[in-house]
Amino acid sequence: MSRLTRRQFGLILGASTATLALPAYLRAQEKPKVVVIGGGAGGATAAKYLAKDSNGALDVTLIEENDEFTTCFFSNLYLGDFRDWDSITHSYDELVSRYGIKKVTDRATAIDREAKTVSLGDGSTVPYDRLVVSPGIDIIYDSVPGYSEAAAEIAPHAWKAGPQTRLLKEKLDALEEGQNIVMLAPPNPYRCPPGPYERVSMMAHVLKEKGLTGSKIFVIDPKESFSKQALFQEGWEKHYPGMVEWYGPDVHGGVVGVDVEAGTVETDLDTFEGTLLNIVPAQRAGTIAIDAGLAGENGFCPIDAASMRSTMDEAVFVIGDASIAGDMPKSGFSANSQAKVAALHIRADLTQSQTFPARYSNTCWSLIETDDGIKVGANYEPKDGKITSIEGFVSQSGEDAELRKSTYEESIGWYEGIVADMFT
Amino acid sequence: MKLSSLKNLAKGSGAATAALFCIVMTPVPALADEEAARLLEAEHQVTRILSTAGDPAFGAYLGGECATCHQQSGSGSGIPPITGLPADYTVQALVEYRLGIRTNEVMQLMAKRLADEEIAALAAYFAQEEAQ
Repeated sequence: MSRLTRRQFGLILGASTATLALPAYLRAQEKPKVVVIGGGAGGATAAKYLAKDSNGALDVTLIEENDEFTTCFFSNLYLGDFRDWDSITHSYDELVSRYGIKKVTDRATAIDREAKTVSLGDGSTVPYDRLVVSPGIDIIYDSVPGYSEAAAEIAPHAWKAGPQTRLLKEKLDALEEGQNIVMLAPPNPYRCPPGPYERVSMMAHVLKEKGLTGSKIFVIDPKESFSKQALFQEGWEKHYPGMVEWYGPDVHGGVVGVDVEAGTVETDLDTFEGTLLNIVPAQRAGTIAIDAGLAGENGFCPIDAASMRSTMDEAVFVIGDASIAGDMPKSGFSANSQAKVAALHIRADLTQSQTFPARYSNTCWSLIETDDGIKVGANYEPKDGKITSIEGFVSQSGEDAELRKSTYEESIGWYEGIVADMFT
Repeated sequence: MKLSSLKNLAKGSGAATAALFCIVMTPVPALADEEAARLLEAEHQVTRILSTAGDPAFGAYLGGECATCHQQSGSGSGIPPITGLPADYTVQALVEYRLGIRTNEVMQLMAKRLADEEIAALAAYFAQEEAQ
């Protein structure tokens, strides 16, 4: 109201009998403000549910530097030629037009938790009463000796959907018979536990379709085991015999470093050579969360399991890959699930709406080869001070082709569902 | 075991009933009896749930979990639309998932933790929503 004189304000008030008759911009100034940092599966969902379920009682701002969002989930299917780029890229327009969310297309550069403001790339600040931090992961480049942000232009990580994904696709499509791929898989905890292995499957699919069955994919893994391992290895043997070789630390003995110019990944056992290197380093919460002091020593952000509220700041909620979500994997499904719990508690904080006990769920579908889909899922509740898995399932070895096909079809349905839940 | 005595067992919760089956039916599987008992139990549960009035506001909250996969617009393939389904259909389907009669693992997982009043609430909510 600073732009109005007391007299002008009194005239406006005097002209009406109800507060609701105030001009919209004045009413907007009175609403509690929620700012959401990051427009992915966590942030877009949170912004939508906050705006939708508060019926206009909250002023919701979504800060996301990109105009459109390309989903990390299903980006492996883009690599495998099962999806085109446009089909995994989505607009924020409906969040603005249908729910009245303010979309700020800029980078959130810092959080001032004292002043309760978020700084933007253009130097301006946005105030908040409650803040949702959903920045996803950042890559720890120097966790792999010899790797760097510059090196990623030669040997892409492609662990954030965008230019890196397209670079990996170009390099994959340029391979010729007999040329190999070396993937360095990430250590725990990382975004999308089955992701590296679905990616291996999709890259093998492209090689096979082009008749490049003399090419190999070497997977150098810092982990002793991985998500849906038996299912992936069974699928590789069945669909891509002799093309995929996976090495755990008990075999390779440890990663010494990479040389992206030479195209090598050196381990204690041997040096693996590839025309294409896909290096996926260790990860941590997005830098903005760490800089704001919201992360613990392991680089991810502790939260209250019942609400997704930061244990560092009661006005802040951290959701998605940046959070320490107990037994939940870092996935788009998880982030979407956590966003709804956070939105519920933020509305209760600011509009005194009712809360219900938190429930979380996740399912991760992966594609091994055409019509050969698998899945793993669980549900979760706050228990023993963390988000705890209550019950789960995983696809079985040797399932019949019909079931695998329906699992793949289900994954397509899920994709359409979650992007509709995030963006429409 | 006779079906008549299973009827008494089936009055307990689905999980407790299943646990009892594990004890009394091992090692000789009597799949036909077990299936019959589960269908009977489903019938009981559906009748019980339909006799209560579901709270659509509670259903709206719970339905947020459904919306991750089932599009609220009521469109979609691969995963069936649920918006606008009659309440008795939703109750029947969720009860059958809860009892493991319907086999989809994701839906079994979702349904197993739903109490009767939650199923009633979801059914009431989706019945009043309109597909676009």
